[in-house]
Parts: sequence; C-alpha cells; structure tokens
Amino acid sequence: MSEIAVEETAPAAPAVTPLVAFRGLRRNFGETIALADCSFDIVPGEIHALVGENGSGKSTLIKILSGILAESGGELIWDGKVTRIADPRAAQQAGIATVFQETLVLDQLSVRDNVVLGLDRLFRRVQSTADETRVVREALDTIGMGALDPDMPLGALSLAQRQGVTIARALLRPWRLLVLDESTSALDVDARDRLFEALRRFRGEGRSILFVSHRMDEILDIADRSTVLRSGRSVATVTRADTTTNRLLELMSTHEEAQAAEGAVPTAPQRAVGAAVVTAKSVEIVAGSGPFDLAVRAGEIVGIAGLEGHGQVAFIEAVAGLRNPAQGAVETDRGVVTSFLNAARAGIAYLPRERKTQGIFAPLSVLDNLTISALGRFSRLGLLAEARRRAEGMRLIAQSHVTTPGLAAPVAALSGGNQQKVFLGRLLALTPRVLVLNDPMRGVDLGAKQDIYKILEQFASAGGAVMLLSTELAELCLLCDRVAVFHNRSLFAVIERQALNEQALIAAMFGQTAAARGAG
Amino acid sequence: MKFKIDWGAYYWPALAGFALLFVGNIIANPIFISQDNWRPVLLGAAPFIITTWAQTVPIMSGNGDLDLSVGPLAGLVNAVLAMTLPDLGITDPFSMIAIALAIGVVSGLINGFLVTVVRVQPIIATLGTFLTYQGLTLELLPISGGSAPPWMRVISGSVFGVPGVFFVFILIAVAWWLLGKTAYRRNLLAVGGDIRAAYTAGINVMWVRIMAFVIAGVLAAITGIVFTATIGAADPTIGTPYILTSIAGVALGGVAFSGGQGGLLGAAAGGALLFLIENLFSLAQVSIYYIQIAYGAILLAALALNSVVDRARRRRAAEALV
Amino acid sequence: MNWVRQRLDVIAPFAIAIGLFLITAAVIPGYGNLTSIRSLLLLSSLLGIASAGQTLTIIMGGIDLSVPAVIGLACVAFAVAYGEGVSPWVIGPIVIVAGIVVGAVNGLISRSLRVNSLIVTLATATIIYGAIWAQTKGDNRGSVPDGLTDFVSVIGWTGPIPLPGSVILWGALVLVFVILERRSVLGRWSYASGANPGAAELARIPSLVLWTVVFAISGGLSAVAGILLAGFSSAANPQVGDAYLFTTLSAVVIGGTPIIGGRGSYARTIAGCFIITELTMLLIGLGLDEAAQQVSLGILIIVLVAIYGRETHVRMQI
Repeated sequence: MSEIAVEETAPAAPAVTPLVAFRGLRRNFGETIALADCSFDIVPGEIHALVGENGSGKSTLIKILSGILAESGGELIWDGKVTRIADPRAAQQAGIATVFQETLVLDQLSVRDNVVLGLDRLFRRVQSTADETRVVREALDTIGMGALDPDMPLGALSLAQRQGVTIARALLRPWRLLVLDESTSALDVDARDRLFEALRRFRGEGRSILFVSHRMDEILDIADRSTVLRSGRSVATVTRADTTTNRLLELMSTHEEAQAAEGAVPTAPQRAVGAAVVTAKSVEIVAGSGPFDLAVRAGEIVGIAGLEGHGQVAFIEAVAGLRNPAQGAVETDRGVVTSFLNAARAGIAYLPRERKTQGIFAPLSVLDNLTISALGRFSRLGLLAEARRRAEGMRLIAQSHVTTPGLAAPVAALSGGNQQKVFLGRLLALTPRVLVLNDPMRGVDLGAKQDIYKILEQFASAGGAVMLLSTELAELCLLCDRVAVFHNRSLFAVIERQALNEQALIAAMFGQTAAARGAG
Repeated sequence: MKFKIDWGAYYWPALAGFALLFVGNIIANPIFISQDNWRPVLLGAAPFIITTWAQTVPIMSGNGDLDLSVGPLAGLVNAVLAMTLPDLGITDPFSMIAIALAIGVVSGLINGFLVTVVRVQPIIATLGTFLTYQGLTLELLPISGGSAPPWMRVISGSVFGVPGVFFVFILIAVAWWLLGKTAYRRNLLAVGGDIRAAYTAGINVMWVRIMAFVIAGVLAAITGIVFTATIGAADPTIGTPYILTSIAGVALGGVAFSGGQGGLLGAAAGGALLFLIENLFSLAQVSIYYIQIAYGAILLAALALNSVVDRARRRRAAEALV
Repeated sequence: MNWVRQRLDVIAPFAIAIGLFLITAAVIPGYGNLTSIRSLLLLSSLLGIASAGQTLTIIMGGIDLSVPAVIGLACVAFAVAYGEGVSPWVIGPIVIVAGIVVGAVNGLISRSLRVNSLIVTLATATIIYGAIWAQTKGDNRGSVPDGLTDFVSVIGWTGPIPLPGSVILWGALVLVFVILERRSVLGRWSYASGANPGAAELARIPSLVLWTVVFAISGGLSAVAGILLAGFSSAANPQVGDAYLFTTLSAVVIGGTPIIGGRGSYARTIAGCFIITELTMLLIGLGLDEAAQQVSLGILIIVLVAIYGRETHVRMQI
C-alpha cells in the first residue's frame, strides 16, 4: 500500500510539543498481534479522530492509553516523557479520562455515586455530598442532562442516559486528554450535539480529545485530524482539509475491500412479497401509549427505527416473545405469541443486541456456536451425529460468509464481525421464517456489514421475513422495503421505500408528520 | 438532615421475620424477655450475628467472594485466648484483645491476598484456610480445655445492669456506621456491583476486596473473644458450625450473593433469626439434628422469597425501561 | 514446543501427578511397589467417581456442595439396610435413585429460583446431614456384603485383572464422561450454559431440564461413591464423605477446570484426583498426624491452584 502518503505532522499544528505521542507501539496476546506498529501524536487543543475497522487495534490502543493493558513494545510519550501507565488510576492522575465503548455503570448506585465513582481513595472522601451533587449536575449539564436527579438509582435510566453518566464521569476528572471510544452511539441527536459543542469549547481551552467513532458524519463534523489504523498499524494521519469519507474508507480498507464497499450497495431487487407472517394487532407497548397495527410479510425487510427509549426495542422484544405488550397481541399463522418458546415454534428467530453477553459462547468452537440451538437435528438418543453436524456447519459458514481457520476454532479467536456472522448463522440453522434483529450491525466492521446485508437480502429473497432494528439510518435506507418509525412508545409512521431517506426518518423519529406518512 | 424511610430497602423481609420470631419466642416462653434473660439471649445470639456480619462484607464485594474460614478462625482465636496465651502468661485484656484482632487482620490479609493477588477462587482459597485453621486449632488444643481470664466477665457478665456483650454489638455497629461515612462503603458496593466499572473508574479494586476479607477476619476474631467469654474455656469444635449459619444468615438478611448490595442491618436480622429458631427448637426440646434440618429448609425458603421479590422488582424495572 | 505451550494447562496437571509420584517414591521407602500403586488407583477411583458429577456441574456453571452429604446418606442407608437384612440389589438402586432425586431437586431449585447453586446445595446438604443424624442418633451400626468389600479392596481382583472393581468402574465412567462431554447434546449444552448463561436461554437451551439432569447425575454418582465408601469403611458412617467437599472441588480445579464454567473436562479432573490422592498418601507416609495433614493439604492445594488454576485479572475482562 505504498501509494498511501503518511503525513506525520499536521500543517494545522506546527512545531508544538505533542501532548501524547505513540512511537511504534505494539501489543500482542500470545501469538495474536492486536497492535503491530502504531505511531502518531495528539497535540494540545485538538480533536483527533481514530478510525479503523473492528479488530484494527483501536480498542487495544485505548486500553494501553487508559492503563488497562501494558504495551508489549514501542513507546508512549506523555507530555514529553516516555511513560508506562500502570492502571486506570494512574491514567487519571496523569490527566487521561476515558469513556469506554461499553457503558460501565452500577445499577444499584445513584447517578451521583456513578458519576463521582473512583474519585475517592479507599477510605477518604475527597468532597462532601453537597459538593458532589453540584459537580455532577455541572458535568451532566454539559451534555444536556442537567435535569437528571443525582439521587435517582441508575437502574431506572435509559441506555442514552447511562451513556451520559459515563461521559459525565470522565468530564469531571481534571483531564488534559479525553478519550471517547464510540461513546456517542446510544446518545440521541440532541445530547450528541451538546457534547460536540462542549468538545469544541474544551479544544478552545487547549485540551485535547481522542475521538473514536464508526460514523463518518461525526468524524467529518468534529475532527481536526484523523489517524487511520489498519491491521494494528497506523497507516496515515490526515488533516481536516484532506478528510473525506471516501479517503478514510480507502485508507481503512485494503484496496479490494474499498472497491467492494463502493460497489456492493444493495439495489433492492424486486422480491416477491407474500402473505403476512407476523401481525401486530392493536398492540400497546405500555398502558396508554396508544395501540397500533403492523404486518410483516414474507419476502420483506421491514426496518424498525426510533430515538432511544421510544418503544421500538420493546416492540421487537414482544415479537420475539420476550415481553408481553400491555394491550393487543402479536400473531402469526400459528397462533398468538405469548412466550419466547412459542415464538420460536412459530418460526421467529431473535438476535439480541449484546453479542458478548447475550450472544456468543466465547470458549466454544465455531461449530458449537453455529449449531447449539439446533442440536436436536443432529442427534439420536442425545448423542450427536458429528459428520452431519459438521456438514451443516460448513454449509452455515458458507451461507453466512464466515471467515474462520476452521470449525473447531474457538469463536473468541474470530474478529467481532465474524462472530456476529456466526451468531446470525446460528439463527439461520433454525431455518426460521422470521428474523427479528436487534441492531445487528452495531460495532461491526464494514466488510462484515456488507456480508450481513447479503445474508439478509438472500434470506428475504428466499421468502423469509426480516424485522431489522437499526440505529444507523443510512443502513435502513439501503436495505429496507419500508421502515416503521416509533415515537412516544408507539408506531408513529411507516415510510415506504420510495419515500425513504434519512431526512424523512429523522423527521418521523422526532414526531414530525410533514415528511412522513400516517401510520396504519 | 432529612430522614426518609426507604420502604423498598432490602432488609424489610428480614426485619419482619425477626419480629415474627421474636414474638413467637415470647409466646412460647414469656420469660424470654424478662430482664434476667437478656444476658444469656444476647450471648447466645452473638456468634450467629457476628459471624453473619463477617460473612456479609466479602459477599457484598461480589466476584464470588465469600469467607468459609470465619467459623474455624473464631475457633482458632478461642483456642489461642483460652489455651496458648494463658500458657505464655499473657492474660491482660489489652494484649489479649490486640493479639486476637491481629490474628483476624492477618487471616483477612491472607485470604484477601490469595483471592486478589494470587487469584485463587475464593471458595477454594477460604476452604484451604478453613482446613488450615482447623488443623492449627487441633494442634494447639487436641481436646477441650483451658480457661478464660477473669476480665472476660465484662463481656459474659453485666455492666451497670446491661449485658457486657451488648457493648460489643454497639461497638461493631458504630464502627460500621463510621465506615459508611467514609468512601469505603461506596467503593465496596461498586466493586461488588461491577468490578470492571469500578476498576476503570480508578478504584483500587484489589484493596477494596482485601479490606472486605480483613473486616471479615476481625469480626470472626471478635466472635472468638465472645466464645471464650461465654464458655470460659476453649473447644476445638466450637467454630465450624457457624460457617453454615453465617451463609444462611446472609441469605435470610436479604443480602444478594451476586454482591454490590446489602448491609449489616439485614445481616444482623438474618443472624438473629437463626438464633431465635434455635431457641424455639430447644424450648420445644427438639433434637439438635432437627434444628439442622430446619436451618436448611429455612435457607431454601429465604432464597425462594428473595428470588420472588427480586424478580418482581426486576420486572417492574424492565417495564419502566422501554 | 508450540504444541506443548498451547496445551500447557492440560499437560501440567498430568506432569505434576507423575512428578509427585516419583518424588514420593524417592522419599518414602516402599512407596513405588505394586501395592501402593494399587492403593493409589483405588483411592483415586473413589475420589474420581465422587468428582465426576462435580466436574460436569462446574462446567455447566453450577457447583455441588451436597456431594459429601449425599455420600454420607448413601453410606449410612446402604450399610444400615444391609445390616437389617435387605438385599444389596434392592437397597443399592434405591440409594442411587435417592441420590439422583436429591441432585434433581438441587438443580431444579437453583435454576427455577435463579439462585447460586452454592447456597442451594449447602442448604440441602444441611437438611440431609440433619436427617441422617436424627435417624441414626450418631449410632454407627450396619454392615456391608463381602462382595462390596472386595470391590473396593486394595488387593481385589476383577476377573483376570489384578485391580479392584472400583478402579474398573472408574475407567468405564471416564469413557462415558468423555463421550458425554464431547458427543452428546447434554454435554454441549452444559459447556454453552457455563460459558454464557445469559445467552443460553436465548439460544433455546432448555436450562431447567439441563440443570436438573446434570445435578441429578452428580447426586447419583455421589450416592455410588457413598456405597463404595460403605464397603471401604465396612460400616455406616455419616461423616465418611466430609473430606470430599474440599477434595472434589480441588480435584476439579487442580485438574484445570475453572470454577466459572464453560471450560475444562473430566479428563483433566483425573489428573486432579491423582494429585490429591498422592498428596494425601505422601502426608500420611511422612507420619503427619491428622491435624498436620489438614494444615498441609489446605496449604498445598492452594499452592497448586495458584500455579495454574488462577482466575483472570479484571484487566482482561474489559
């Protein structure tokens, strides 16, 4: 990839001592190399984006910077000195505050306790409860959540609010470098705008931000410079003036992948749409939220969208039999859905949102992960017919485009994208009639996304029905025959393919009828 | 200071059960609450309550932490106080209490070190120290014997008409209350709730867990002092039964075994419940073996109750979180 | 070398088992002879049978602390009933079924209430102990058939094989467990359930059935071990299983099956059983009294677990 120019120093920040510089940073786990060679720097007063596919080493780099992992080689130069950051506390004392991808919060404690977590020593408290309340309010206010009651237990908060709490936790530490690792994914548009506003203000004060996101629009919006990681190497640092989506994509992917990414846009082939497979009849998600109907037909991909906490997740969980609607019922031609098991019997397969805690069995093999839900098909008197099971495993690998060293490899050794495809393969092994997917492309790299698009297209073309909940609007526009948009815990609008675009979706998500068509 | 009663708190079922059995004991034997009876009741209840307290703290710190060595440690302290120290000519209260507490601290440091630094699973580590303490006790004291020094009558007797052991409870309660004023309790709940969140936030998770075992060790040592005062001698088998009751007391007290929740109030009620049950049984002159069966059955019932309450609460939370 | 490094966690327990044998043979005169090898195999087989269910339970994400109580129950029930003239072919199956029922109840309660099986099995163990004592009042009578004594005798033969039946039974059990773990639906479900309990339900694994069956297996095998131990001690002794709480757990963990579940295997537990038995024989051979044996075993097992049975650091969980 010699044609990629590496611009080591940015014209925007000449001859400034970097706040942090990485020089050939390396980290391996046994024989797996997570970070091969990473070199770039962040100067005071800049917002620096870190981009790369999953498995490119971003998380590892952030863990080293936050004191969770030690580097295997290379140097981390903090404030002009070669530094090894021993643990998260040392990172904070140096002035590095990190918001991790996962929302690490404590349900049993209050909002205040969650935000000030870790400021105290083992026994000594650094400030009074009254002072804590004040600084917590200030920090939350930065992202427009100042109205949140600091005494409220965290368990009662929505996902967006939880993410807000983790951001506030980082903000109120005396930081010079704020690391945001995909920590805006659950925030709604308003909170995110507020946060970006604050980030720009911090930059004005000479503080720096390392910003990781999969969303190109965010990077183009806010980053001064962007460093691209690929296969554990820093391949380039580009300045704002040179940053375009295509340029970043090109740098992130190998050449073939970049072409594939551009070329493989699904064109929504004409699929034969059949009879309704799943029908929501007068469903009310919570009492008084307003009943609605929605039918999903064979051969159709129906998108499900909405701002965080507007009922769309509860709805697909009801379809999967994981919760009962307050009123009405979800019906299939095999009866009313009342439980997870009876939804399964009706041919509904559900993919939960959290791959790590609800999806894969990390130490188990790829084969086990693919077939675990359908073992009955390969067994006689409880004993497995291995030859048949392996043959089915091979078929599923091909069908789900999984890249793996073999059927026996532990699934944990696969990249996040491949794990997700294995997870999807497990559902396909059940030969379902309906796929109910809760944000399947979340945190998945571009290549894997393309593969998942293909899997869904194939599934629908073969007469399957898909309910696809996604937080990425572009994806919904690309894939769906129509999108059901939820607002205020009820179906607000169904936008058909010909009217489908991001503006229309956003309008409907905010409850504006102008661009949307009335709901059924 | 505003004072609000939290009706959703974890300890209400335990307190209700305690009240019920308390009344039950009075009905069965009205002498139960006569002033003369306070002293033996409190002395009898003390090992149940204090070992349950000891067990509660590591369980609150989560991550599978529990301390199976609390009973045998109390027994070891009992042997040291009634046998070894008098043999060495050490009988003054300050030295004896200091040595007893030091044994508790060292034991806690060992358990905590094994669990956090060596990273041995808590159940294996504390079963190992359990065996070790039991063996040490048998080495020091092959059969019952020894004698408690006279000053221990302060604990076993009464001071100004108040049973001495009552002050031991007050001391522990005040110490725990003071600890709650420090950052430690919040740190403990955080480590127990999600150690990853605690660690990334900058909490020294290793020392939080070690301190939980140290507190357990100190409380077990205090139980050893109370044992010595109560029986006035040393008995190598005295501590072991309290492993089960300490765990049962935690469950009855409404403290979650997953960690990150609970406190000493519920645990005290849980431990006291077990004592009240034993008391009822011995009033009815039921064989000691049936008490064992009752403990097991009550533990299962408490688990079932906790689970029902917890599930209802979680369902409400899930419904609120659309 | 690579092959060795990747499988270090499997090789290490067996290497330690062999090393420990050689050390003991060098230290204690006469240890290397055939009789002590036979008693090593016999004692390991008893521990091995008691640890089999424990291994599967732990892989599945549970733990069974009722093993010693069920052993005690089986031992007492079998010996007392036989002493009163009941045929061993009648009381034997009854005792095993009783063990299975206790196990099934353990699994059923743990799973349906979603509470830690550690506490549930502790509770059932207490109930069983109380029931045994209430029935026997501490009076250890009873006797066992000669055939059973031979079955667990150091000098026992199984047909033409110079090994007691207990060792042969253990060998058969190992085969069954290897197949059960690798090639059965139950085995694969157990690993999956232990690896990620949150995902198991969503992956349509019938957890309640799984937990009930696996705990029932553990209860049944504990009862078998109890009958064998009745033969070994020739009397009804409710405390005969007490040592098996710590030793079954240690055999599993020292063998390299982590207590958090989802990993490990019974094959590894075999090495753990040999190590524990060898340690016990070494301590007895060195002439330690019971108290000193307890102290040393406690310390040695912690040391062994510390060598390779360590939990992962919180850093690696993020």
